[in-house]
Amino acid sequence: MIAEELALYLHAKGHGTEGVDLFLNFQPDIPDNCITVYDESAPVLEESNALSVDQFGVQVIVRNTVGTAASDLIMSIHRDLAGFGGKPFVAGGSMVSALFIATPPTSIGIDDKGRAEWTAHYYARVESTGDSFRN
Amino acid sequence: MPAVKFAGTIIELENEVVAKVTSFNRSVSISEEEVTGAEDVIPGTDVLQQQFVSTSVGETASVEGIAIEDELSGLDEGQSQLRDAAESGAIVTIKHIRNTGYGYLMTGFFTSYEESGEAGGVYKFSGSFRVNNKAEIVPGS
Repeated sequence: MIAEELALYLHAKGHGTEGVDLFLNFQPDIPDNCITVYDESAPVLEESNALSVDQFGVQVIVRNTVGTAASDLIMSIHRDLAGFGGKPFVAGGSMVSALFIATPPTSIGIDDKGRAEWTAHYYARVESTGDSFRN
Repeated sequence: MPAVKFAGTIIELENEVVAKVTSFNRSVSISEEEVTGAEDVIPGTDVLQQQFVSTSVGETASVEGIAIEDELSGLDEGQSQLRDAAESGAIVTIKHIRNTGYGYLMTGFFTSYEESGEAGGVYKFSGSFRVNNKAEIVPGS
């Protein structure tokens, strides 16, 4: 889904390095300071039943031993995501016609090791290709 | 017989497919005239039974969709033709073909056209069309 391409976009924007401190759909226990991008569900667009377009949900979680560092980083990511659209996240990727904010960055507290976590949710309106029945 | 899904519906304007149509509506309205006379009583009562005759039939169609536009080539060709037809009041033909292949070829003109967008969504367009003539389309025709 779209989380993988969004993670590559975050990598390209210098927010992290995949497999080092930027992860997809699984947040490892180490390193302490990392970004994780998850696919998640999203409301169905009415036009998805007839047109080649789908809406996908994506969640970004930033973890850091310093609370302000986590909030600063997720706000930096948010500034690179809010209003995105009209192009794919990565060259050759799915066309993202618009990225909508589901919930802006917010703290979800600390984990069992005292590390601060911040999260934000987005909906991506993505064009589909090769559909058998949709236009 | 199965229900007819909207997916696969094709709207053409002057033989150009209008992209990303999300809604199509065809409506027929009948004007009527009351012709009740004193003799039109309900038997055994002194109450009139109203009588009407149809005097004219009018037909409209409306279409809605998602606007798509390319940085280089501009608005989708079909959507562009729809907008131009509406803005000029031109007489044009619209084909409405369901995914079964059945539909109508309608001749008329646009009576309204609207483009709208909002911060939390994408641009959309809609147009209302006065149908003056129509012919049925069957698969393979």
